[in-house]
Amino acid sequence: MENLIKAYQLQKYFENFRAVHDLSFEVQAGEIYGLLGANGAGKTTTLRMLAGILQPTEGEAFIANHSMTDNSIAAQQQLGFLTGDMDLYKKLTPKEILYFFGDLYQVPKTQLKQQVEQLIEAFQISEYADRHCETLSTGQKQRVNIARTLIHNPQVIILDEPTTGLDIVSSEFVLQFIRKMAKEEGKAIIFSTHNLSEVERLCDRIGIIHQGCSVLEGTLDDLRNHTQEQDLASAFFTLLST
Amino acid sequence: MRLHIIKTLFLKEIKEVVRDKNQLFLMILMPFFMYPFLFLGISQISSVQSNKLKQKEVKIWVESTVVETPLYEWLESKEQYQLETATVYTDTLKEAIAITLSSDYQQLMDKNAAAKFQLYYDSNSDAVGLAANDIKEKIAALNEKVVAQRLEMAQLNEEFVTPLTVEKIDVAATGSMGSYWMKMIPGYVIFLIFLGIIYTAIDTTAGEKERKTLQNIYVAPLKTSEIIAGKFAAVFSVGLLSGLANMGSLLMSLIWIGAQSSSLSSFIPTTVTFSGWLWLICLLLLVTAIIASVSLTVLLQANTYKEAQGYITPLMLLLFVPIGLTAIMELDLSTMCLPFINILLAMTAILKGTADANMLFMVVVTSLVYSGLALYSASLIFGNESVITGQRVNYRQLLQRGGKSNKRIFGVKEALLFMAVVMLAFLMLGVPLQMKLPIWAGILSSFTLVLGGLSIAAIYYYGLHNNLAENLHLKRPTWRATLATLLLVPSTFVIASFIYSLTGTVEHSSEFMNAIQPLMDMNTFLGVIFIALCPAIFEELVCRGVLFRGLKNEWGKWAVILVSAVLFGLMHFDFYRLATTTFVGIILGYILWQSNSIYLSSLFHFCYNAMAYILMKYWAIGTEIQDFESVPLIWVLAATAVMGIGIWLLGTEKAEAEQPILAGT
Repeated sequence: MENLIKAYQLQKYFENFRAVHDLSFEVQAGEIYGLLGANGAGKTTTLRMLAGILQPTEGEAFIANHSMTDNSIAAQQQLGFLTGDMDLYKKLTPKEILYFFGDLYQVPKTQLKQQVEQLIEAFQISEYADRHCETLSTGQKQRVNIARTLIHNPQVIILDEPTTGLDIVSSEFVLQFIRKMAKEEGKAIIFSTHNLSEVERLCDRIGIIHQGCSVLEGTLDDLRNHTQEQDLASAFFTLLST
Repeated sequence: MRLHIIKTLFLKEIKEVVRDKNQLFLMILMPFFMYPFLFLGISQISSVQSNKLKQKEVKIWVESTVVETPLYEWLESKEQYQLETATVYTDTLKEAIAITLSSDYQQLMDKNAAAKFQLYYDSNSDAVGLAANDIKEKIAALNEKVVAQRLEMAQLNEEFVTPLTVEKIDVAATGSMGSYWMKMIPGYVIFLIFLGIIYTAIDTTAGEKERKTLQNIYVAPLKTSEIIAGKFAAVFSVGLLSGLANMGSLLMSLIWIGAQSSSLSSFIPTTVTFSGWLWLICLLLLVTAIIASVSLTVLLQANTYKEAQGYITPLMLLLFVPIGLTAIMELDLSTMCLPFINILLAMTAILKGTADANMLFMVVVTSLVYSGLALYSASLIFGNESVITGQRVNYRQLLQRGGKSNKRIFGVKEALLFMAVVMLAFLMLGVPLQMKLPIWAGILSSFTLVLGGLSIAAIYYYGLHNNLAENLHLKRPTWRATLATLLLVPSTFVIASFIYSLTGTVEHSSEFMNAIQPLMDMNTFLGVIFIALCPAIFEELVCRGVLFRGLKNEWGKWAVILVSAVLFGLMHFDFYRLATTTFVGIILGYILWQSNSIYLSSLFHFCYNAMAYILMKYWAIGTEIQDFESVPLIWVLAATAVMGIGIWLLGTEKAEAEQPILAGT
């Protein structure tokens, strides 16, 4: 399988503060990679470097074989990025937002119409597709946000705490969607969350970072074997305490 | 930059503004209805209030001597005045008037001497104040009457008491807007535009950060310049619309209430010509662009709406200081480069009917440069990752690396920035050098210091020196291209002269000749060095060397040739010669693109300028310059044919140009 996400020795300094240090990992097509870490571990900084929002002080990130440093436009064309703190334009409707981002990602007009209709149906947002986003609930907004992330059918999806603030039903919907995107459509997904049970259920491989450094990377079984713990939560705490 | 992306971003911003009722109300609707309300309301209220005060009863204490005067008779006839005759005690006077008069009033009148009324009144009461003025005016009228009687008695005419008179005659044409209020109009319009801009600018920068929608755009495959262009277009449009709506409302209100009806003719700038209006529109667009760019640059540093509001006061000061300064300044060579102030002065000059087209052109060019620089700053700040992380912008890093691209490439943006710096430096450093030093030293130093120095700085800063030969097109030309270039020199000269004869004016030709007279008086060899060799080296280094390289790195043939030609034209800072210099710039760009050799464009430039110089020196001087500029049509036709051959020869040059023989290899 092709590695659609490659992070090579990423480093990030904010003035003298080292946020990420020498972080490397790869994610294959069809794989869900869980990125775990406590608050301030460097997860968001890492994901932002992968998305081209932040420039690495050292190292390089590749999305679908395009360097985010040298060819960010091509790399971002293949990337869908969603974090818990990204909101929608409150005066636009979900449909307008989908068309807006479709235009920005240069989706051909005929294809865009079809894509918008499919996403509205898949995410069950037809009921409020023409309402201003300021009138939507958190769960409804998150559905629109995810649909927005997929409007250009990217090969790579990065999700930073996408279930934060959602109720169980909405969370489950998002998790099912993530699994479908990876397993049925072969997308490479990085999934970052504080909810360890979601990681256990969803991720093929897990990377744990602490104070900007990679602590351990592997499958759930690798983590259990390494820490001699049965569940992910215990393994996580054991790793952080050593 | 992709125009459809900019359009998409622009439409999104506009849609948000239009749907935000508060913003729409604050920026357009409220000011639109505010003026009629204010003007009508205030005039109505003040009229009612004034009538009320005039009707209000006022107590007037008069001394007995006043009773004998015609004033008393008049006071009695007024219903609202309650008269009391008594000794006046001014220290206890409250909400009343007291009038005293010397006891020997009648004797003084009989002796043709002067008597004095004293009017005591309590100014705390508006009604008393009005009545006091009324009485004072009546006494003045009585005084005139007495003077007339005395003159008649003495058999003297009125001129006896007014031996000297003065009459002020305003020779400014009607509608030239020379009054103080008229001078304030540009500043007021600009202030209204600022009000329209500021709220949209806050919303699209700090507002988006606060609402957490900025990241959505940041992760999309967009260039920073495209994002900024989209936001700028929205802020610019809303600002302009809001300013014009405000101004329209204000003017309509004034006309409606007819308050200024008698002096309305001086209010409307009737002397502004059609071209004057075009200049005004151009300046209005430019000033809106500058305010929009500066506002975006400043407000991008705020992370929240509240924080952004803190930037409004400094921005307003930035606006008001120049507006205030324009009252004591005039548009001239020393003020035409002052950012923002020059536009205000130019607007005032147009309204006063004293503007010179070439000076206005300089203002437009410099303002374009300032606007571009401000927009570039906004783009740099927006490209900085601190915009997303909410940290303070690190200004030291701005020119090195940004958030969306950390490569220091030399592309269109950098090339335009280079040109902007060159043009400003030429105006601010080059022009004074040429004015202060002897002409040869001025030309040499301004060309080498400004054009040469900045080009070398750009070459090293952007690493162009790593492959200097390729980057600056230092290629040995072919014989065919050289022949084509030599054919193009005279043919371009004839056609350019023809274009000039269509666009230039005789007056300007004379001005131009006067300006270059010292060069004409110079030894021919030195004249050729300063007029032909210096531009052939330095202007080519700037326009066909550095600028052309940057544009060529991102754009195609005709975009590069046309844009570099327009900038080459603007760089000459001569409105009347803009069409000519741009045309020559197109030919120079074509020569370079086809031959890939800066030596040929330099050769053309040298020959062209030398030819113009020698023809002017030995042929045109002593005769009328317009004779020289009026090119017979047959010459134009012949030149077009020769030019066609030159272009054809260069057009077939491309295949050979694929095998470059680079200098130094």
